[in-house]
Amino acid sequence: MTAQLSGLWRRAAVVGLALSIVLLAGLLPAAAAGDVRIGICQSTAQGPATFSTALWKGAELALADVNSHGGIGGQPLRPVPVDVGNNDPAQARLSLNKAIDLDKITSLVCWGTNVMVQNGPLIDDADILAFTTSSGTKVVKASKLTQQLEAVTSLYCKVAAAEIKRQYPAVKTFAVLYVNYEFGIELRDKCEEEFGKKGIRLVASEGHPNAPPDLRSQLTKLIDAKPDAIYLAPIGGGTVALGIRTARELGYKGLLTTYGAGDTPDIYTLKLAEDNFFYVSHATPPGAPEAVKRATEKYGGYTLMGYEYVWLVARLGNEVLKNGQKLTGNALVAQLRKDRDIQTPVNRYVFQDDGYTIRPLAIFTIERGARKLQHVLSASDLE
Amino acid sequence: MAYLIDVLTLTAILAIAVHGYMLIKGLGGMLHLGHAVFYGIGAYASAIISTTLLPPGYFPASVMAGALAAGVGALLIGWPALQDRARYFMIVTFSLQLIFVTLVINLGFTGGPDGLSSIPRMSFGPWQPNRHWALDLGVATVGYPDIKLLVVVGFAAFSYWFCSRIVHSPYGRLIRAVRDDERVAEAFGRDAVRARLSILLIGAAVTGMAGGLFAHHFNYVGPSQFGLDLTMLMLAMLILGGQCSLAGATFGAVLMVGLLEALRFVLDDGLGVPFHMIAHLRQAIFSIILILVLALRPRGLFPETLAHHRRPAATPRPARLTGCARALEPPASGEILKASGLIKHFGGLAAVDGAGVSLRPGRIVAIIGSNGAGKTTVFNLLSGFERADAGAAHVGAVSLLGRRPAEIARLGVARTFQDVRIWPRLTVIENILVSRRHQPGETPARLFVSPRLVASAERINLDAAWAVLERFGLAEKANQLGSDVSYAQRKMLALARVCAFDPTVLLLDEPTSGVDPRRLDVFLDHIRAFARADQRAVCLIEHNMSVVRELADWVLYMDGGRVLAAGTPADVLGDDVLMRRYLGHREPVMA
Amino acid sequence: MSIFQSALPFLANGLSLGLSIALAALAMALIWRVVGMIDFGLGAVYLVSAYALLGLHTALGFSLPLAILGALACGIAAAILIYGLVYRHFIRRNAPLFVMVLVGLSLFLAIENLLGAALSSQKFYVIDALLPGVDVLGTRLNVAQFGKMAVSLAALAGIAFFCLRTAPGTMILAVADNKRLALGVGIDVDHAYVWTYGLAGLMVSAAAIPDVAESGVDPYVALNPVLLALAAIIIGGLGSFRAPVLGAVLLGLAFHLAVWLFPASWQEVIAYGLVVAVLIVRPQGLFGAFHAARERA
Repeated sequence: MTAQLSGLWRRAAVVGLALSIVLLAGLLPAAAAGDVRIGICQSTAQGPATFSTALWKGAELALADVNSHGGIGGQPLRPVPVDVGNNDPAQARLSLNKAIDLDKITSLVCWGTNVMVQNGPLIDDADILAFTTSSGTKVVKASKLTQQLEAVTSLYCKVAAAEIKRQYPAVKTFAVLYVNYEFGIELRDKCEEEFGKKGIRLVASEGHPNAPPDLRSQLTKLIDAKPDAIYLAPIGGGTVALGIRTARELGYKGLLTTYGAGDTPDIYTLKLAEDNFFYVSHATPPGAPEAVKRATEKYGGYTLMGYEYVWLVARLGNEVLKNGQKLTGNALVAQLRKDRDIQTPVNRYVFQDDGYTIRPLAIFTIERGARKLQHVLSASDLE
Repeated sequence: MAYLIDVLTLTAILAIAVHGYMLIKGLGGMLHLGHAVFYGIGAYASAIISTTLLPPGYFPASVMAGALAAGVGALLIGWPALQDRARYFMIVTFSLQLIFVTLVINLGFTGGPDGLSSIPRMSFGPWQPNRHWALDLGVATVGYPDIKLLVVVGFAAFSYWFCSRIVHSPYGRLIRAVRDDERVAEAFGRDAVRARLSILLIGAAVTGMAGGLFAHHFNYVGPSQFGLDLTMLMLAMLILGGQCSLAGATFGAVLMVGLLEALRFVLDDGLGVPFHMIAHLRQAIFSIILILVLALRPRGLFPETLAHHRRPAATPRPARLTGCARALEPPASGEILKASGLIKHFGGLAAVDGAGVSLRPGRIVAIIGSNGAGKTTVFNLLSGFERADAGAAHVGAVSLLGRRPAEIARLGVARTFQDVRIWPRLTVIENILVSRRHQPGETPARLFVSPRLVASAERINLDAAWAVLERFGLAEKANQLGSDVSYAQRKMLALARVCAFDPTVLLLDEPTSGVDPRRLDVFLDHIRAFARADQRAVCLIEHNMSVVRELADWVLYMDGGRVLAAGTPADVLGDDVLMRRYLGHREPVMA
Repeated sequence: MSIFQSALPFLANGLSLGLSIALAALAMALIWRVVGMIDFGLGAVYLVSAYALLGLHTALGFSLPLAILGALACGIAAAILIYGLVYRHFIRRNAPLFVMVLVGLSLFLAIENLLGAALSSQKFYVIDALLPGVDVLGTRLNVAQFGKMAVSLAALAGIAFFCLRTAPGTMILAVADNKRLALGVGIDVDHAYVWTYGLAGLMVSAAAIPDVAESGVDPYVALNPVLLALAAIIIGGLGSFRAPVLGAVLLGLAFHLAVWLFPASWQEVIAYGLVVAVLIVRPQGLFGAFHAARERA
C-alpha cells in the first residue's frame, strides 16, 4: 500500500511539474507594448535549416540598422521566431498561430511550398503581410497578402536556360535530378518547358527522397541517357553537394547546374563544384552595405533576403503610418504594390499585383572556396 | 485565443489517435511502429470522400469513412503480419511506415506530392459555415473554430468512452490474456489471431477517425504529414502517459503537446537563446525532457487500471454455480478420449513413437517416464500444440489430429502447462474469468449492441469465478496480479483456471512439481475431485511416485516415445525391471 | 548493350551500398541480440565520431590517420558513455522494448539537434576533392567505398572471431543466449554490456568515417545509416553474424536494382516493399531466426 501511495505521489509530482512548466510559460509576458513584431521562419529540416540561419543573419543586420533609425514610427522592430519544425504544415500552423495570436506579428517571412500554401488563409485572416522565399508558383495564389521575395521556379529555369544558351552553346540535351516532392516535380516540369523554348531537350529525369542515402543509381541512369547538362533540383543543403560529387565520381564530364538551393556555404567549400558548374541565385551588388556582403559570403544567398525583408517592412510601415493608416497586412501590401518598383540598399524589385515579383538574379560559379559572380540579370532584364 | 483553440483542437485529435495506439500496443501488446499510417489512411480516405463523393453537410459520415478505411487497411496489414504469433508485426508496420510517404507521393488519387487541398470544413446538413462564421450569443461570440473544438472534444470524449468500454469488458480482458500469453489463451479455446486482428482493427479504426477529423480540421492532407516523425510523436505520447492506460494515453497527448508548445514560450521569450538556434534547441530540449521523464517513470505516468472485484458476502448460491462442478450430466461411462499410434519426429529424433492413451470420465490416468520419454509431446499432440506425423486421436467420434489448439479446447479437452503459465498481468480472479467459456461479452459488437446481456452474463461469470476461487482457496488473492502471487499459488491457480473452463478431459502436466510437500495433499484432493466429484477424464504427467500411487487408477510407463507398460499403479510401480530402468534415468521423488 | 550489362553498374553500386549499411547493421544486430533493444542511439554515436573526425582533422590539424584513430576512440567512448549514463538505468529497471526504442531515438534527436544548434546544419568536408577510384563493372567505385566494403567484411570476420575465440566475446555470447543462465554462472552482465556497446560503437564509427571522408558531415548524416541498418536486420534476421550483413547487401541491391527497373521515384516503395514481401514469404528473416521481442515486450 505504501509503495502504491509513494508511486501516486511521484506521479503527481511529475504531472504537477509538467503542468507548472506549461502554466509558467503561459504567464510569461507575451506582448510588451511598444514594439513592432515581425515573424521570421526557422526550421530544423535538412536544407531549410541552412536557409533559416542565413535569413536570420541578414535580418539581424537590417534590424540593427532600422532600429537605430527609429524603427517604424519610433517603435523598434522585434523579431519573432516561427518554428516550422521539419517543414510540416501542421507544426507551422501552430507556430504561426502563436506568432499571430500572442506575439501579434505584423509581417512574416517564410518558405516551404506546402507550409505557405496551406497556411495562406490563416495569413489573410490575420491581416499580416507575408513574404515568401519559396520558389513554388502556387504559393502566392493561396493568399492575397503574400508576396514573392524569391524568383519562382519558371524564372529560375528561364534564366538557367538563357545562360546555357549563351555560355554553353554545345548543350542540346539535359536531364533533371529532382527531389520527389511537389517542389522538385514543379521545378522539373518548368525547366522542361523553359529549356525546351531554347531548344534544349529533356532526355531523362529521376526523383530521389529528401536526404537520400546515395544518388548513384539515379545518376547512373541519367548519365546513361547522355545529357549535355544535368539540372539538380533538390530542396537544398547537402544534396546538391552529393549530386555534384556523385555525378563526377561516375565520370560525368558535362555541365551541372542548379538554382538558389546551391547558394549555401555547403557548396562554396566543395572543390568539385569549381569545375563546369554554375547556379542561378541572388547577387550582392557592389553598392550593398559591407556587412551584408560579408554575411552573404559566409551564410549564403538567403542572407540578402533576410536583410531586404526587414528593410522592406520598415519602409512600408513608415509609409503606411505617414499616410495615417494602421499597420495592417492589407495596408502594407497595398503600399507595397502601389510603390511597385522599389530599390532596396541591395536590389531593385518590381512587386506585381498578382503577388509575383520581378527581382534580379545572377549567375555564379564556385572558385577558391567562395562563390564567384559571373554576371547579373537585373529586374529590368527579366521584366 | 485562436492559438489556444488550435492547440487544443490538435491535442484532442492526437489524443484520439493515441487511444487507438493504446488499444493496439497497450491492450493488444502488438509491437506497432507504423501508427501514422492508420492515421494517414483515415485522413486521406476522409479527404477523398468528402471532396469527391459526399455532398457538403455530411461531415461525420466522411470521418466514419476514414475510420472504416483505416480498419480495412489494418485487416490487410494484420492478416499476414499477425500469423505466426505476431513476432514480425513490428517489422511489417515499421516497413510500411517507411513506404507510406513515398507510396502516397507516387499515387494519383492521393493528389501525389501536392496532397489534397480544399477539404470541406465540418458541417452538418444545412449548417455549412464558412471560415468567418460566427454566432453572437450576446455575452460572447462563438466562431467556427470554437464549434470545431467542441466537436473534436466531443469526438475525443466519445473515443474515450468507446475505448474504455472495450478495455474494461470481457473482450478487453481476453485481449490482455492474449497479450500476456497467447498459447494459453488458445489452450482455453480462444483464437489468438482473431483476437489480435480484431483489436488491431478497432484501434486502427479509432485512429482513422482521428485522421478524418484532422483532414477536416486542417482542410489539407499531404504526404509529409504522416511520416515516421508523427509515429514517434504518438509513441512518445503513449509511452509517457503509460501504454496500458487509457487515461495515460489521453494525458500523454495533452502533456506532450503542452510541453512542445511551452518550449516555444520558454525559448522565444524566456531564455534569450540565439534566434537561429531556437528551432533546433526546441527539438533537443524536448528529447532530453522526454528521456528524463522516462528515467523517472520507465513505465509511464499511469499504470494499467485493473478492476477491483469485491468478494461477495457468503450467500447460498444455486448449485450450478458451486465451484466448477460440472454443469451437465457426465456422458455415459466409456472411453471419452482415445489416442493410438501417435508418432512425432523432431528432425531425425522420434519424440513420440507409437504411443497411445485412453481416458474415461471419473478415472485418473498417470503417465510416468524419464525426461525426454515423450510425455509432454503426447499432451502437445492431443491438445493441438504440435502436429502429429501419424496416428489417431478422437474425442467421442471427433478426430483431434490436425485441429488447432483452440478447436480442441472447445471440444472439451483442456490442459495445463509444466511451467504454469499464468497470465501474469491479469489479476487472479481475471485469470479465472477469462478461462470461463460462453461469454457474450467477448464479442466486441455485443458490448455496444446488447450491453444488458453482457452485463448479466458477467455477473453470473463473476459469481462463478468467486466460487472457483473459494474452492481452490484463492479468494484472498483475487485482486492480486498473477505475477505477484507465490509459486504454489500460481500452481493452484492453474488448476482453478482449468477447472473454470469446465472441460470433459483434463490433461495436467506435472501439476504438483515444485509444490511444498506439506501442501501436496490439498493439490491431490483437488485433482481427485476433478475425477471423482466432477466425473471428468483426467490424465496427468507425474514424476512423484507417491502422488501416482495416491491418485492414479491406471498408469502408463513411457520410454523412447512408446508406452512400454500399462497397468494399475501397483502393477507398474511394483515392476522391478521397469522401475530399475526408470531409476537408471532419474531418481523418482519419494515424498 | 545487353540487359545484363546495363544491370552491372547497379549491381556494383548496390553491393557497395549494401556493404556500407552492413557495418551499422552488425552493430545494431549485436545490441539487439545481447541487450534486447533496438538502439536508435547508434545514430548519436555515428554523429559523434563523424564530427570528431572533422574536428580532429580540420580544426585541430591532426593527420588523417591520427584523426581516424581519434574518431574511432570517440565513437567507442560515446557508445559506452551512452550506455553507462542512460541505457543502464533503463535496463536495470527492465524497461519495456518500446521505452528503449523511444529513449534511443530521443537521444539521437537530442544530439542531432544540439549539433545543428551549435555548429549549424551546414555540410563540412574532410576531403573535398574527388576520391581516387577505379572502374568496375561499368561504374566507378572510389577508395572510400572499397574501404567500407573491406571494413564490413573484416568486421564480420572480426566479430565472429571475437565472440567465438576471446574471453569477453564468449561472455557476450553467453549473455545473448540466456541472460538468466549467464547471471547464474556468475557472468557480470554489466561488464558484458559495456563490451557490447563498445564493440557496437567501434563498428558504427568505422561506418561513419569513410562516409564522412566520401561526402562530408552535417547533423542529418546519421539518419539514413540507422534506418537502413534496421531494415537490413529485418531482412536478414539475427540468426547468425552473417545474417544482417547478407540482409544489408540485399537491401543495397534492392535500392539500386529498383532504380534500374523502375522510375527512381518508386525506389523506396520497391525496396521496402521487398522487405515486406520477404517477411510474408519468410517471416523469420531470410537467413535465420528472428526474435523481435526477446525478453522485453
